[in-house]
Amino acid sequence: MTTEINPRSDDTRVILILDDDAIARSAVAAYLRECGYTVIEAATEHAAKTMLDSPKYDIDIVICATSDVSSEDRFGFSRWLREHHSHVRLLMAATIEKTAKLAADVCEEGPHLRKPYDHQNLVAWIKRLRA
Amino acid sequence: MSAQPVTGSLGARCILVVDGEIEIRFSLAQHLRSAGFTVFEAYSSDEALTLLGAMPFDAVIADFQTPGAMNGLALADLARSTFPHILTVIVSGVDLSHELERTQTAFFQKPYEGAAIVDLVIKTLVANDN
Repeated sequence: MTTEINPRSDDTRVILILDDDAIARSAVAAYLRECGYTVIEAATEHAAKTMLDSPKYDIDIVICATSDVSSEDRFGFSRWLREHHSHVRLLMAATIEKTAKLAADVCEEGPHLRKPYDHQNLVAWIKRLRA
Repeated sequence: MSAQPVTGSLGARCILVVDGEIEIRFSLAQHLRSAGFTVFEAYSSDEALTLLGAMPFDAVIADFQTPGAMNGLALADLARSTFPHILTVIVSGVDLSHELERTQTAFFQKPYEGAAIVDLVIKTLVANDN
C-alpha cells in the first residue's frame, strides 16, 4: 500500500502550479518550495482539477501559467475554479517573466517571508535550461 | 513511513519522477523530498525527455505506462544509454518483474511503499559513491 504523506502536516500553505511547459513549471515550483510552500505540479487542466477536487489537498493558491491554452479555456478554468473552489486564489500569467514575478510576490507572503533569490535569476535559469 | 533523511552530498542529488497520474507522482515526489532529494516531476515521457536534456539526474523513476511517445521502460533505457550511471526504476500496476529481472532497471509494482523506493535510491546512490 502506498504510504500517504500529508501535504498539510504543518501550517505549510499549498500552491498548485498549472503549466504545460515542464522546464518553466519545474523551475518555478523549485523556487516556491525554497520559499517554504508545498507545491503541486499539474501539466494539464484535468490533473489540476483532480487535485483541487481531492479532499486530501487543501490548496490555497493556483498559479495558471499555461501558455498555449486559448483565452477562452483560461477563462473557463477561472470560472470553474470560482464556482467550485471560491476560497482558492487564482493567479494567471501568460509569460515566463510574469510567472516569475508572481512567484516572487507570492514568496514574499510565504512561510519564509523572503525570496530565495531574485525572480530575474529564475527567468535566467529557465532560459539557460531551455538553451 | 518515510526513509531516513538524506545527509551530506546526497541531498544535492536530483531525481526525476515520471507518472501521468498526478496523485501518485506527487506522493512519491514528496517522499523523496522528505528524504532530502531535489525532485523534478514529469507528466509524460515527452516532458521527461525535455528535462533529461536540460539538466543531469541521478535517478529516473518512471511509470511503465506513462503518457507520451515512449513507455517508461524505453525512457529508462534511453536515459541509461545517455547517462550510464543513472539509476532507473520502473513502477507499474502490472507485474513486470520477470521482464525486468535481467536488466539494470529496478521494478516496483503499484501500489508500492514510497519509503521502499526512497530506500533503494539512497542505497544505490551511496553504493555508487563508494
